[in-house]
Amino acid sequence: MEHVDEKGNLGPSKDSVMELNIAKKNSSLLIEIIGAVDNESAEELKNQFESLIDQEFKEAIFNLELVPFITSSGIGKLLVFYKNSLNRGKNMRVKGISDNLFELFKSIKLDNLFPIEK
Amino acid sequence: MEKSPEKILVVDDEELIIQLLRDYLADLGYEVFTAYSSEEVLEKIGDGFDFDLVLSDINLPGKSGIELLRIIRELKTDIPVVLLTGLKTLDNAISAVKNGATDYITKPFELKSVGQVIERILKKQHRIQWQEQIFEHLKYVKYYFQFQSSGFSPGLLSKEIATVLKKIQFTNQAEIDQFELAFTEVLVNALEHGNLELPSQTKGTDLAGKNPFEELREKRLKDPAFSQRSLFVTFEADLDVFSLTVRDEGPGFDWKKYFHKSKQDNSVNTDHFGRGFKIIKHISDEIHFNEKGNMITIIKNNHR
Repeated sequence: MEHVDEKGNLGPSKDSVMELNIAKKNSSLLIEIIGAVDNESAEELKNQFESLIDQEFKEAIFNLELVPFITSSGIGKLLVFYKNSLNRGKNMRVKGISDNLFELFKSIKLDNLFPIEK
Repeated sequence: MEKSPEKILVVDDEELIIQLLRDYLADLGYEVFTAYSSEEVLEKIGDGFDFDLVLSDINLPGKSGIELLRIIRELKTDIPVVLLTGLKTLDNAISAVKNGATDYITKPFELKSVGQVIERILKKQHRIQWQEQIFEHLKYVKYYFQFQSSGFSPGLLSKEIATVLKKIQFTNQAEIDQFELAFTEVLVNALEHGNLELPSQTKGTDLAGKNPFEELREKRLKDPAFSQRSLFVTFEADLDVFSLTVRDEGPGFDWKKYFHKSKQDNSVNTDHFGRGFKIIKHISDEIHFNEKGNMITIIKNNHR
């Protein structure tokens, strides 16, 4: 999915409103986040997670390929999802992450909790 | 020195429309070029033609005006593109404006209104170019802001400051995104933990319902004892280094204890406390606090 920002730049803009694409594949729940996750969209994430967590899946796979930016509040919501998944015997992992976000996630040691792939 | 006329490219497959617009716009003093299809436009651009504005019909043989818009945006991101549309394609034009077209004009149109739209867009474009030129030669900036807590948006101010770094071409967009993230974390901390004195521990881990943190936040934003406290923000940058200093009017925190702990802390932090601070540490080269712990300065050197 492509976005064109107000200056006409193609690609996801961090100024654009965050969107989620949800799909199911076998026993996996695929969650693609598109756009920046700031403190406002972090709340939206939480609301969406609430309806996703009890769906039937063994593993949630977050695709962050189109996320240029995620605040601590957004990371907090991912962790809330992780904790809630764990309580329900489910797994999660993150893929498609940019170099900068990868380093950031590692610095707060998220890679000790769930697999993170570039 | 007399200014050279602005170059407008008119794209339409109807000869009559082309003639009308060409003559009218030439009378207004513009240098007018014409094309009958998107393919012809791409040939012209490929040949090195440069335009100040493209005025294109949506319905064209071959690639449509919308497709042409997409290609122009890929090749030349900021050239204004105005679409001409009939009522049947009005929805497409409106969605095209959301996706990068500068404006649209519905057919049938009055020539005068076409002239007005073009004049307005080119004036705005000149303003943007002048601003860019100003920032091109800028060597140093310093901003000072004071905000009241109620109504303050850390996200908006962070974006504004990051835009300054972009304008002076401090570094690439991916890095500027990281800096914007650090600004947000610093400002959110100062607002929420400084002025509003919200304890992180109340954030909770439930997905359902409002958490106590949010409830307390709303309450304190309505309480003058907290909401009227100010945030003082200073931002300085040149091409080698920038610094952001934020002071709040809260009680401060024991940063020495926390700093010491966080240096040795190798555990995974699944609670909410201190994650923002770790992000700030990860992105910044230096962090300084005042003794009271209600003022933070972050510094980042340009590692080009």
